[in-house]
Amino acid sequence: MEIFLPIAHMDVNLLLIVFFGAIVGFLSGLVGVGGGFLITPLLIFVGVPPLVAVGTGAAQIVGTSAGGTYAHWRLGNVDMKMGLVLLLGSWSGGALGVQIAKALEAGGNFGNTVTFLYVGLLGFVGFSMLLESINALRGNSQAQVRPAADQGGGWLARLPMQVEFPVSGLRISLVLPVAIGIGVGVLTSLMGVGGGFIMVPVMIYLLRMPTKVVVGTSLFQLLFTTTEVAILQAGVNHAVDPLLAIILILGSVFGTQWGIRLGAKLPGEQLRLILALVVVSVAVKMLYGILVKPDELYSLALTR
Amino acid sequence: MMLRALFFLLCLAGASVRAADSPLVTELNKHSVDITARYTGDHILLFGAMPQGGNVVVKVTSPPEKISIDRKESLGPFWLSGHKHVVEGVPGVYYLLSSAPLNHLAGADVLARQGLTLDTVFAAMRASPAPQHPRAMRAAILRIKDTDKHFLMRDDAVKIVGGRLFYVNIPIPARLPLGQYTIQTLFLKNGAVVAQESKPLDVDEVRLEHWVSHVAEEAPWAFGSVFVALVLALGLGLGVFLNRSRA
Repeated sequence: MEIFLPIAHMDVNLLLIVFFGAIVGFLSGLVGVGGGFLITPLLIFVGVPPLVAVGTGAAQIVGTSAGGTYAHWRLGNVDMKMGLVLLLGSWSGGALGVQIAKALEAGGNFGNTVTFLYVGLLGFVGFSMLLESINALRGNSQAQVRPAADQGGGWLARLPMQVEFPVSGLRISLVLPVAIGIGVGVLTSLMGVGGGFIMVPVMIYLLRMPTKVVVGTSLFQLLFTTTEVAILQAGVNHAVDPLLAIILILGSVFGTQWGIRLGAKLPGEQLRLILALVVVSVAVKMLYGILVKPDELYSLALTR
Repeated sequence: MMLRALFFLLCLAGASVRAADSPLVTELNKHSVDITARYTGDHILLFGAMPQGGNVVVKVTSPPEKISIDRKESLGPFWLSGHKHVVEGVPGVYYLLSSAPLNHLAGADVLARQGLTLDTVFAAMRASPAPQHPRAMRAAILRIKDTDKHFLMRDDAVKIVGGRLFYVNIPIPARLPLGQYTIQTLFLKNGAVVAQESKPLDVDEVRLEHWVSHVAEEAPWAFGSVFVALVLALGLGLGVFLNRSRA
């Protein structure tokens, strides 16, 4: 069943988009990742212009992370002060990123940039997950990365603007979370991802936040970063397709429920292996797309 | 479709006798194409009456559009988007549907004057920055427009019935430029255009789709803020509802 997308100006198969939403929601329910990094490449594969894929991806994450953020906030798992400091960074980064996207699009380079960012990111994340889950399946799970307790503390403590974060029980410099926030904000604008896959490890290993507040604070941060970026992508780049976003959200919200139920029954290592294979294959497909000489060298697009 | 065409033709057979002073009479079975979310292509039936002995050419054009064209270039092992050119002045849609091959109907000068050749389509084309290979770019635009069914040439599309009546079924593709199209019908006899008539065809989004794309284009900030607030509320509502139903 084909439907016409008003902003992307193209026909897509409704069931295919629902399926994309469901698959991403399913994976996020199963293994707890956001899955924004899968939506954008899948949309690009079916021919959605890269900028619209990225802008709509950000809007989709707003819808899928709102419920979870609320649930964590109710449970008191959000370090609000840390969340706001991170947002200070990611809102600046998001605004900067949207302008970078606009400039790249005007020069015709946005598609290339997105492809390279995704091949690099998905390749790296996918292969690390693949190695980790293969190790876990072999049974040497004790070889996992352990937070380095003593190293790195020195330079962090010497940074200026040290501030107390009572909920996390930390005293650290504002410089670090703001800088990380800026980086994640830029990625949200350029890739349409929430950045949870960067934020969670950073919070655990670098900021040393207690595990209890990590997921809630990360969700809080990414919810409001994607909110800002989605508004900016609509305002600056006309790149948010409302119909596409709503179909993806509905698909993924129900996919998540399905994933959570199935995830409770399946062993964790195998689930992570499946996800790793999915991520690696998307990266390989994207790489293949730029390595093979296309049949038609030229492409046309309507411009404003 | 055939039955409907015959019905219209019979109606016209009566009308054409009275309209003898105007040599060419045409009508469309509808005057607009409504693009909704469920739109997947359409057909427009053009039918009419003409003087005895001659041929008919139907030219369908949409307003000139602004497109960007991009050529993939090889860079090391990669094929990447290279230079982007903005091209203006080329109609989004250009159909030439006729009852016989055009070069049998009139000389090259007549065809060019009436805009019935591809050269006239590209006459007003402007590209910035100027391309290195303008011929290759023109060929590529033609190729892609042809694949997308935005350019179409058929010399057997117009059917003539009894030497006086004719009809043509104009295919409207699923993906197409919006705007007011012009459907021009020309009657040719002995190598000259004897009569012609134009009819407008509105191709536009309607209802909610029209409103959404209009608002998103005209007031992008208001659209973005309201839509994201809506999405936030939707996600929150669904999240709370599903958590409650699971618990």
